[in-house]
Amino acid sequence: MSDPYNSEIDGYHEPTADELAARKKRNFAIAACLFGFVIFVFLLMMYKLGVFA
Amino acid sequence: METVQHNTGNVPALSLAGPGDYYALMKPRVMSLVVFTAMVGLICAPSSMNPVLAAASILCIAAGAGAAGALNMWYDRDIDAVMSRTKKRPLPAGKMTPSSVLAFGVIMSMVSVFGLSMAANYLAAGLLAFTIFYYFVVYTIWLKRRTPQNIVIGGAAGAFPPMVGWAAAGGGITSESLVLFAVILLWTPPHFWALALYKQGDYGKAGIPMMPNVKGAKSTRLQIFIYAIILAASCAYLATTSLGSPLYMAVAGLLNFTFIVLAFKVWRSNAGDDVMGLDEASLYKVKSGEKAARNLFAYSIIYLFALFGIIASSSLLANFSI
Repeated sequence: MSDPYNSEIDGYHEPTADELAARKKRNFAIAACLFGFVIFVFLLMMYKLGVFA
Repeated sequence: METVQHNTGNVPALSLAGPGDYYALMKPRVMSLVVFTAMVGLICAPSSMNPVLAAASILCIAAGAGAAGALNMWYDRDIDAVMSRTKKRPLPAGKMTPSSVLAFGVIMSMVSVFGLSMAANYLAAGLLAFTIFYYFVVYTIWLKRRTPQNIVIGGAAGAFPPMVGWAAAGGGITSESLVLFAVILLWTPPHFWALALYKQGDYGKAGIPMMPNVKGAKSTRLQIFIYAIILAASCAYLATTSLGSPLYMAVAGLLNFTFIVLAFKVWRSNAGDDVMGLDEASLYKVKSGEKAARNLFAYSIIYLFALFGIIASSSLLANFSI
């Protein structure tokens, strides 16, 4: 079995337009989820602290 | 970076998976049932909850259910590839790598449990964590490939959400939340075995010991009928708790009567019988029986939504003294 940490990449794969488009969509989705999570935690904290009471 | 090994040599290619594939990993149809039953638990709990915190709790429960679904798909990727029902899922379809699915499932699990502990309380968060553990470890890894009782015991994973919702609202663990748990637990075997009766070839191909493959179709049909009766009894018991009302009793009685009639038709049918060497008349009986099993499977989904819908409606009507 080859060692994944020492194996050399024997070339370069030029990403296709579809692959780049899929990666872009994933990046946007990850960014949106992280932003949503931050807002979620922030709002919960505000509620728990009674800011909206 | 996420990669898929569909390229030549050892040069990794970028994945073509989109957000929709990650959504599919979360088993949206199962998630909708989990969300609905958890909402019913939350609505029926004796203590009220701030609507924003309630919405946040439901979101976390949905995320937890989705995480469990993703972990299940990660572990079952080998058998999913051979079953017609599951071979188009993102992993067997080659759209994602197993490691990315595992990471997604683990991260979602942690985020959902942490989020619920913030939005609701530690008991609800603990129950959600246990539900994910139970579905992934107890059902998927331990029981699913070992025993025909897999969905009988494993069905508890799908039965926890109303308890989580109830606990999230601050209701703790009470006899009412346990009965809600029992109703889904007892509903699961007839629901899945009805499906297994006309899909047993698929399960057999994947080596999953579903009841029709192991004990035979005749025994399965009888057990479906027995579970339908026990399920009706548990619904009758629910009427004796604080969740019972005349409206509930009328609707639940009708729903359970229909369930028992359909289960009886399956029991008296030839659904799932071996068709090898059968004459035309016997073959017709098997096909007709499979129709009865399909009817029960479809009805069982409507049944659960309607039953929990009426439980929630009765509770809301009682709260508003209508």
